[in-house]
Amino acid sequence: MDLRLPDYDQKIAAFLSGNSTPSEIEELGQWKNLSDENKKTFDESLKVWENCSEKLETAIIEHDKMAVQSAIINQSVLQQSRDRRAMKFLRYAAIFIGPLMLAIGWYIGNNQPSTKIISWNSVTAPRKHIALFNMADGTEVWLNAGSTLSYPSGENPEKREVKLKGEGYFKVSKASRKPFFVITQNALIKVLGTSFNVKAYAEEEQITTTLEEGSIQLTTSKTGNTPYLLRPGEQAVYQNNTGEINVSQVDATRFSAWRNEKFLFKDADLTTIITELERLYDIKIHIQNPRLAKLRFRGMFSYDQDLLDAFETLKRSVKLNYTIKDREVWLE
Amino acid sequence: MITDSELMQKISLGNEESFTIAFDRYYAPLCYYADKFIHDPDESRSLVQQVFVDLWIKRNKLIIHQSFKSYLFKSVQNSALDYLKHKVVETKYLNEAQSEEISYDRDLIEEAELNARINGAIGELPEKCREIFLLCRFEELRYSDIAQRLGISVKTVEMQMGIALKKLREKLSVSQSIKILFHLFSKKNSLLLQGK
Repeated sequence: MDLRLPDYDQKIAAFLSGNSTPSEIEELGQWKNLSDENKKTFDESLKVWENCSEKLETAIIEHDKMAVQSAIINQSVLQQSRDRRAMKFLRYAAIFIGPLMLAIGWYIGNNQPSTKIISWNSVTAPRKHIALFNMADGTEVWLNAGSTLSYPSGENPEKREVKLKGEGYFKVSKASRKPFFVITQNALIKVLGTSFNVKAYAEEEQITTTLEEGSIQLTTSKTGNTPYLLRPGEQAVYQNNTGEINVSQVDATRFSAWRNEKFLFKDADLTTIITELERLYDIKIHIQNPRLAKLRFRGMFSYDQDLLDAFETLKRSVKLNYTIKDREVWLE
Repeated sequence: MITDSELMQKISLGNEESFTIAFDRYYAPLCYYADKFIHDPDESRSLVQQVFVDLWIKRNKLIIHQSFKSYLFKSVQNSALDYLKHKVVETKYLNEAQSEEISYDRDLIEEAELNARINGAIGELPEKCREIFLLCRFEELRYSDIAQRLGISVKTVEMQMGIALKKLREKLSVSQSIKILFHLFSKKNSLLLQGK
């Protein structure tokens, strides 16, 4: 160790990044020529500095890996239709996404007991309230009013997984490299460090997944072997009965506005709004006039608004009358 | 550690775990390698992804004469050159490209591997240290700007940059000595084999 320049790492770094003064450069030059050891240190530092290139983050590499997997599965399916060895290729595709298929086998469609016995804990957000749940790995989950999240009691060495009934917003922690799975009744979402919203109410005919950040793979019960890869800003709407899936660009933050105890709607039809209101206030709403159902609205409800306020809000954008009796409402 | 030839054999038999290992081992260096030809990081990534897709799709018809690693780098290089050709036709700068003959270059491969190793080492730096290093190296911010942006002193930036450089350099020399050891070892092995 040279006594004249004990903090040589700092001096070299400052020099390489152009943060040195002329006298510091001079000093460093002298230090470098003092010994072969010093020169070697300097040369290696220079090599490191020059060979830093456009950084490839782990998250990007993982994303690309998923893209390759998806592409392989799609191409396998293409080949299969071409050369009639359908079963064989299907089998390869299935092997390749082994863990995914296994998960679907376990959780979707049938209720075959799994070989591993795990006990599940669950949390449910009360009506008219949002619950924020912090998981052991640092993942944050917001649960919309009345929704339930189940999670295994122990830690699984290979994966993180939760089950969702209803609507949840996930901010998956990047601290763990283990893949994170969200299991809903008809879909399986594979995640790597990311933020997204899932709406999967049992009483609704569709599952809506909206990605804010990162990347997720969506596998559904009907399209089991072809996971959809969502990009930030994309929303996938999956129809439970037809298996149809539509992906579109949306303003992702709007779909997680409920986290602030608000329900935003933009160009939504009355049927959609009513479904939300029924859930929020635990009531039943009847539309007397079928013409009303097709009307479109925009606006916002706060969760702390009372029922009358909510209908007054609606009344402001369109002409309608409402009758409330017990927990039932008639609109006309 | 599973060797390349074992990986290749298992992939050709349809072992998807080996495919994943190969991806983790070579994806980053191959991206850096492709980028040396086409100078477009995003395009480099999609090109390398396609090479991996093809590798898996054609795995049972695969006949590799050279090493698995050379095969991958060669494939990436071919697609990079194809890409350039197409691009050249598109932009009608045909003459320029024809004069620019690029050959299979070992130095470039080593450089790409070095890029990937350093990239990995940057990822392993402590968070604060990494943030400062990235701002300095890639956004080319001055120490005073970094200090201001992060609300810390210039002295802290200086110190963290020193730490970052030291750690990265250590990573580099460790991986180099491993490489030399491995080289000696394989030489010794081949001598032993010849002795038999």
